[in-house]
Amino acid sequence: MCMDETAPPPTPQQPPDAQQIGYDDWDAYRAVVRLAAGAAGFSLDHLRKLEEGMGPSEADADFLNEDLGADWATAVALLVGFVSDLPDRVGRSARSVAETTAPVRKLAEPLWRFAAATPVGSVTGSAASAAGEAVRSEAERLVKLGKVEYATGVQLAAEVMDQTTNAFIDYLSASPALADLVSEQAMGVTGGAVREVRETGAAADGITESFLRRVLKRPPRTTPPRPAFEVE
Amino acid sequence: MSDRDDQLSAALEGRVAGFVTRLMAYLLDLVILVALIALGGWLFVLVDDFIRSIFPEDARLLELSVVFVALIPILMISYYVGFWTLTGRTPGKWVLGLRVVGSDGEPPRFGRSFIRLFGYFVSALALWVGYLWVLVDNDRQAWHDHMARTWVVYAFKPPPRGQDYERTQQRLEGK
Repeated sequence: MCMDETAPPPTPQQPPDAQQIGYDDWDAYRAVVRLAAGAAGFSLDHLRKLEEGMGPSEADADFLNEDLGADWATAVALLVGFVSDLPDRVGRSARSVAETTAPVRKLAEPLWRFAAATPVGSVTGSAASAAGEAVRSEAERLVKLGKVEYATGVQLAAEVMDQTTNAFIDYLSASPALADLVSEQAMGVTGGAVREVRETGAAADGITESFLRRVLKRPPRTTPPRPAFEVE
Repeated sequence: MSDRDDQLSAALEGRVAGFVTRLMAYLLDLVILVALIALGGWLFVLVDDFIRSIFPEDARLLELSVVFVALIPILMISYYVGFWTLTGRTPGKWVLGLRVVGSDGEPPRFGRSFIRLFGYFVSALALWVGYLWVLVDNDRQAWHDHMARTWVVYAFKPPPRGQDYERTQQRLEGK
């Protein structure tokens, strides 16, 4: 990826504008969540395995003990941003990292471009697979090549991580389309419960009545009566 | 909604509801009413405390507790008669998919709704036999239904969009 280092980051082709989310069912929303959770989990697992294979001299960081290796933390932060489907915000974060450290810049650029070209609306099962593969390859490259100054790396990584996480949460909470999806799903659940109650009640009506009619030795009734005004 | 649900709804739609469903709707309405009364009581206590803090008790012309107790029947009448007249369904009946209809198939008018509510008390006074009458009545009508000539029918399907609103407007305009 050859880009002018002084030029501002290009405008993403499809910014994560909530209005552009074209989901019409709950599965699409869940696909986003699955993508985020799955890719992040996969990345962490993959990076841990790579770290184990690199030996203590190459990777002496322990992510869980906050002794962050810069390559690790930066990679994780960028990947979290990537899977959060925030091309413009992640792009800015990645750019700020890239402008500080040359090795990271080269790695962040293609990742950012990939993220910028991935609209939320295209997230499907196949897109999730493709994204997972991209995450895997980029993670591998970042771990192999990222030799950044420790203190700077920790600081930047933490910043990127915070920004992307907050932005992701903001994005989800501010998105009317996603809010509608959640609302529709809630209504669907409520509607299902109401339907269940109604059907159970109607069945109980029939059972109670048939029992009483048997006790009173009345002929059984197969269907509930209609109001008298309809048969008049 | 599945095909089975559709078929069940279609089979029951417009037919007279039975005892269990009506009892559940009745209890639900009761819970809502009690909650409303409790909320109203809490508000009255707040207002009462506020007034007491400003005016000496001797100067008060009316005890707010009396006002509140007097408002409870009004609240009940408004709740039942209002909902029956305007939409044919109280919130409890809505949840259970029921609707009160008169002999014209429409929600009862104000007078019939009022008679029906009066019938509630009659049915209750007779050791609730008036309510239990649904179990043995051929038309699944309780005493208050007979008194007001109303039926409680299954109405799982929502009414056509705007119908409730139009009817409410007409009723409020006295048509």
